[in-house]
Amino acid sequence: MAISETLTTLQRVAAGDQSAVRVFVERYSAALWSLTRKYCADTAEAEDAVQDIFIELWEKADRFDPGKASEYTFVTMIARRRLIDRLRRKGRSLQTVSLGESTEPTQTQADTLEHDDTVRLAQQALQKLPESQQQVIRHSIYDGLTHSQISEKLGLPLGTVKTHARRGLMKLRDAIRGDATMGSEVSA
Amino acid sequence: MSDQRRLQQEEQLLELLADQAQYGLDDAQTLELSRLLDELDQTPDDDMELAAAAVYLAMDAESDTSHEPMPAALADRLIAQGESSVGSQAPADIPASLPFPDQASRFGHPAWGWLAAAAMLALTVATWIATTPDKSAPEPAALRTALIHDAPDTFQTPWTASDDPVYGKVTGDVTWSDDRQEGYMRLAGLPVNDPSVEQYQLWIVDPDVDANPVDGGVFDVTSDGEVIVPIQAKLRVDKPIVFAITVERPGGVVVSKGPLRVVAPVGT
Repeated sequence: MAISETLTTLQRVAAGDQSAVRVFVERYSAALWSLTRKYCADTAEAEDAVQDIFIELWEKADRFDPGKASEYTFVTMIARRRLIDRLRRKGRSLQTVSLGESTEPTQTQADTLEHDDTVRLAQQALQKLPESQQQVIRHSIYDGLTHSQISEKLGLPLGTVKTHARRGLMKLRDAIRGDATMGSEVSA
Repeated sequence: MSDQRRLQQEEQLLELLADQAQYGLDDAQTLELSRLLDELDQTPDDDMELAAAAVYLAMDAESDTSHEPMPAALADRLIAQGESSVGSQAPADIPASLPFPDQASRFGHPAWGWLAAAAMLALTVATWIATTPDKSAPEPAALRTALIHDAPDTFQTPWTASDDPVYGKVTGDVTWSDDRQEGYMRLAGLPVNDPSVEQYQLWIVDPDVDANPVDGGVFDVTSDGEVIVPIQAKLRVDKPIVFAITVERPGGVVVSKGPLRVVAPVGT
């Protein structure tokens, strides 16, 4: 799967090309379904949530800027924002659920990420972060733990956790923007 | 602004952007973010959220979990909904009577998921009353005319008629400029209200700004006939798709339960 092909799908959707819808859904349905399941208590809630996400994607397709990030990153950003908003409205925090037996990533996922420059930049930037910042970012972004939970889990003061999260995200943002100064580590 | 003050504000801004990327923001934080962006003269962007999304994907790739396939029936439903939605322009699809919270996700406008406005402001922002203007300021009618003449991006959209016996015959329009962040409601037929009992409140839907409608200000109608009311959006709105009026308790509300009394979809 070439990046140009991926970008074209959402741009075609934005242009009103109905034939692009099926391609788009087939490409991202598994990734978005898995993400949504992590944020929802049950299948019924997940089905409702994932429909909200796709509606928002159709509406915001024209906001996708391939110069800023990959299509997959943009799609994931919209989905995370929507899911986090749902959780806030329900007064819940993210409870990561098991998605079944561990297996190798699907071919579609691996193939997509292999060619994804934004994700590759994020991976590289992550590796350059201090270990403690990596852990904080992982627990907040991927596991959905609150700063207090991370503080307890890692045995770090709450203020340090907040600082690690903020500085880590800033560096990752700068790396993806292309104006990274990853060598200039700032102590917490 | 002193350098020290500016540095403090920049630090606050970064903290809010990081919080937003990790956990989202509540209404008060959203307002604070907007205020800081204004004071620091910065343009809102989603770069931190994009970074968080890319990090999520990077970590997901490193994990040894596979993606669970979406149920086929659900995927088919999404394709059907998408083909229907993509084939038409969003503003033109907005019904005259918009759905509220529980209906929103089913009928396609997440921005109306709930009227949790960015407002928050019942406590922090002075309510403006259209009927008590600053005597030294130009009249709203003159300001509206000037906006139409001076701002090339200004558009006008009419209030939609409905079967509602009280509000269905309201006429007039909304005039708005994204560039100026300035706008006016022209209203005829909106009943006179008793401000000690209830007030009108405007809401602006801009899904690109927030899933929740933006508070457009509280106002009164004190006489019959046409009135022109300035819009006071509490957050920047870049691409509004609907303007709507509700009737609320004095001072307005942070979260409206509706119903929408008068609606002006953009682009119809």
